[in-house]
Amino acid sequence: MNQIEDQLRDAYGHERFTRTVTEIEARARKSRRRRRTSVSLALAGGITVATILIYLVVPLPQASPPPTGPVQPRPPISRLEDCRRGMALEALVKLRNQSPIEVVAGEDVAYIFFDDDSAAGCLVGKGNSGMSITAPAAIAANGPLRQTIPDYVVVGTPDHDLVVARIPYGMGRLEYFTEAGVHELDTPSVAAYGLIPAARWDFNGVKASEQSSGVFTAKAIRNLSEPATTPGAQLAACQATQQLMPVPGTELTLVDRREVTEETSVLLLAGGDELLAVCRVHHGATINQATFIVGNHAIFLSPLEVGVPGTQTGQAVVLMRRFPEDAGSARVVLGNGQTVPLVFTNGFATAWFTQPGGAQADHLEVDLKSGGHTDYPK
Amino acid sequence: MGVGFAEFYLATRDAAFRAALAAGARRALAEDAVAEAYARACARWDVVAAHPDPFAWVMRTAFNCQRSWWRRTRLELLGAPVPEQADSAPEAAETRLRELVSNLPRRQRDVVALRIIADLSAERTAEILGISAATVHVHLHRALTSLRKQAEPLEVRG
Repeated sequence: MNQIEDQLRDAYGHERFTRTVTEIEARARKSRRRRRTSVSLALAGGITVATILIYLVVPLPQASPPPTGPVQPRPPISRLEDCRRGMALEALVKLRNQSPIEVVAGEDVAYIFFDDDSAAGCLVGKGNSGMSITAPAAIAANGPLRQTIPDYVVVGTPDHDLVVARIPYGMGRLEYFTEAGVHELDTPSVAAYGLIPAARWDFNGVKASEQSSGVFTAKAIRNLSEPATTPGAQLAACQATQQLMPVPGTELTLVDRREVTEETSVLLLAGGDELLAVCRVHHGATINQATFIVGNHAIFLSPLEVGVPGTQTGQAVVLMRRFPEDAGSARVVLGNGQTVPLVFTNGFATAWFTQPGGAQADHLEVDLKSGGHTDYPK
Repeated sequence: MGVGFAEFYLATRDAAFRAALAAGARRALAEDAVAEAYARACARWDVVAAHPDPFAWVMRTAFNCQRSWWRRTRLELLGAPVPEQADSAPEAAETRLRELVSNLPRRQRDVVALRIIADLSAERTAEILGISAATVHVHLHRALTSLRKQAEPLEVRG
C-alpha cells in the first residue's frame, strides 16, 4: 500500500542541499543589516514623504495682494495620506504605484494596496490611524472581486477592525492577518466587507457531523440596484450574487420557489459538485436586497421574512440533497429539541416550516431502512 | 539545552530541499528559497527554536518564498529552460515519477512534497498550506491515486 510513497521518497532521496552553515549564517547577517537599514530609512523617509505629500495636497501660497476678508483655514489632509504616512516604508515603496481599494464601513475607512505577491492595508479612524497590515498573496488591485481577487476580502473582526483576510476555498472559516501573525475566525458574528460596495459575507449553515469533511457555507447580503419582482429577475439576481463571492461558480438551477410575503420570495437552488443555495429576494419600499447562502452542505435560513428578529417566530427553510437508497425518513432537529420532517422531491429534501421562538436548526437525522439511524451525510 | 541552529540545519536541510523540488520549483529557485528560509530561521533562532515544530516553520517560509519569487519571475521566463544539473543522475524510473509529480495540480503537488517528502504531519501541512487537515487527506489521496494509475510498474530498489 505504501509502495508509491516509498518510491516517491526514493525519487528525490539522492538530492542534497550543499550550502554550508557558514553560508547560511552569512546570509542571515546580511539580512539583519538590510532590515536595520530599512527601519532607519523609514524613520527618515516617513518625515520626507509626509512633507512632500503635504505640499502636494495643500496649494502653495501664491504671490497676490493680501486678502481683505478673513483667512480661510487649510483643508485637512485626506485619510489616504494618513494611511500612506503610517505604512512601513518598505511596503510603501513596493506598493506606492498601486491605486488602493477604499472600503468604507461606518466611520472607518480601509485602504488596501496590492501587487503581485503582497497586500498592505491600513485602517483609518477609531483610533487605529496608520495601522499597517501585510499579507502574502497573489492578488490584483481593482476589478470585480471574483475575477481578480478570488481569495481575499476586507474583514471586520469582532473588535471592529478592518483587516485583509483570506478565505481558503472550501472552508467555513476566515483567516486574517495582522502584524502579530495569522488569526483564525469561525464565528458567524464576523462580517466580511467585500470590495463591492454594500456586499457582506459571513458563514452559517446546519452543523456538519464529525464525519463530514471539506464542508463550507458562505452567505452574502447584497443590495440590488433595482427591485427583482419576477421569478426570472430573482433567479438572475441570485446567480449574479454567487458570481461575486469566493465560492465555486457552478451554475445553479431552480429547485423550488415560494413567495413568503408580498415583498419577499425564497428560491432554492442546486448545481453540480454538490452545491446547494438558498436565496431570499426582498423588494420593499426602501430596500431591494438578495440574501444568498451557498454551500456543499444542508442549508438553513430563518427567518424568511425580512424585518422579523431572529428570536421571533417566523418562517424557515432547510434544503439538502436526497439520501442514499437505504435511507428512509429524515428530519431536522431544532435547538429546542423539536423535529421537522423533511420531504423528498426531485432528488432533494426540503422542509418549509414555522420556526418556533427563533429556534435554530441544530442537526439532521436520517433513519435507515435496515434499522437505526445515521448522521447526515454530505 | 535546546538544539543549536547548526545541528538543526544539518539534520533537516536535505529534506527541505527535496520537498521544495517536489513542490515544483526549479532547482535554482528551490535552492534560493530553502537558503532564504534557513537564513531567516538563523536570524531569529531564539524564536524558531521555541516553535513547536521548527522544521515546519522553515518549510512554511520556504514555500512562501518560492511562491513569491515564482510570481515575480514568471513573466520574465523566456525561451526554453536551461537543463538543470543534479548532483547525481536519478534512475529512469525515478525521473518518470518526478515528471508525474510535476504534472499534478499545484495543491496536490504541495501536499505530496510536505506529507511524503518532508514527512510532515497532516496538521502541519494544513497549517503551511492554509487548508484543513481533512482537505490535506483528500489532496494526498487524489495525488497518490493518480500517481499509482499513471506510473508504469517501477523497479523496487534492491
